[in-house]
Amino acid sequence: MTPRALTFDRREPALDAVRRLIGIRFAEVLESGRSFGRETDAERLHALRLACKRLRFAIERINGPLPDLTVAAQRLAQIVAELGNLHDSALLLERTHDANVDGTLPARIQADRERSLLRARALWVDAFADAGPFAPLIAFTGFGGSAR
Amino acid sequence: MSTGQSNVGDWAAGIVAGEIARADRTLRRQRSKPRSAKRVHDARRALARLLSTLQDFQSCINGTQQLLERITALHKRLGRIRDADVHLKRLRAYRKSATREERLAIREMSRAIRKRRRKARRKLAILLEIPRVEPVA
Repeated sequence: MTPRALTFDRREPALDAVRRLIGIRFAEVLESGRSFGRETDAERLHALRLACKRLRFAIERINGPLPDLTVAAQRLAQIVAELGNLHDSALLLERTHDANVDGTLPARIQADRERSLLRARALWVDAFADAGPFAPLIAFTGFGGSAR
Repeated sequence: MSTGQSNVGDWAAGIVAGEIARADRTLRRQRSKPRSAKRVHDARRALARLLSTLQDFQSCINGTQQLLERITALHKRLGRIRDADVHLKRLRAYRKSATREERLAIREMSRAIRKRRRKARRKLAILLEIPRVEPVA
């Protein structure tokens, strides 16, 4: 998913702009992760990873009187790391196909990919638990109360 | 500058200036030791952050288009090198418990990945020779 382009008036208070930006980036994460529980397509999982990364960067830029979203940013970083491992496995699998490698090596890479996917899904589901890492983010933006 | 004490134009320009300086530093470090996987990773991370900030706030910072194109190109080149570094590391790990047949496959794949990495490093070095572009706040 391409990130939505935002238009800001230069004179707009930074606080309002940041609030709006985080809301939009969180909505993109939720949209990308809508079918995460069933998703296995590498491109879509990669799109979710990029959306999580953009939201994390938006949160980490905050320097001022907004709610503390550090825990949400940390959880996003963990999800991004697992989806990154998964992406690396997918690329490495492609390399084995390019090199006509068969046998047990592709199977081992595939098994690592599946483990990363399971870990990423567990982190995602846990993030939406009551008082979970995304709770401050959900309260801040006012939407996204469950791992769909 | 605190998020709560300024308008978005000034605030974003301040963030971008800081991230450009950081990206510049990490790229210099990478250039001084181009084979370091850590320095490639650091430079790529700094560029990813800068790219994201520019994309988010391009509507209120003038002259970002050229900079965005350059950062995107550098980020892509570093990504190719980073992918190769990660894949080679993963293959080394698989090699430890590999069968004889797997070892042969890993050796061939590693050779091809190293070749791709050399090419990516050359392209990055060429790109880094082009003068940098500054945004206009």
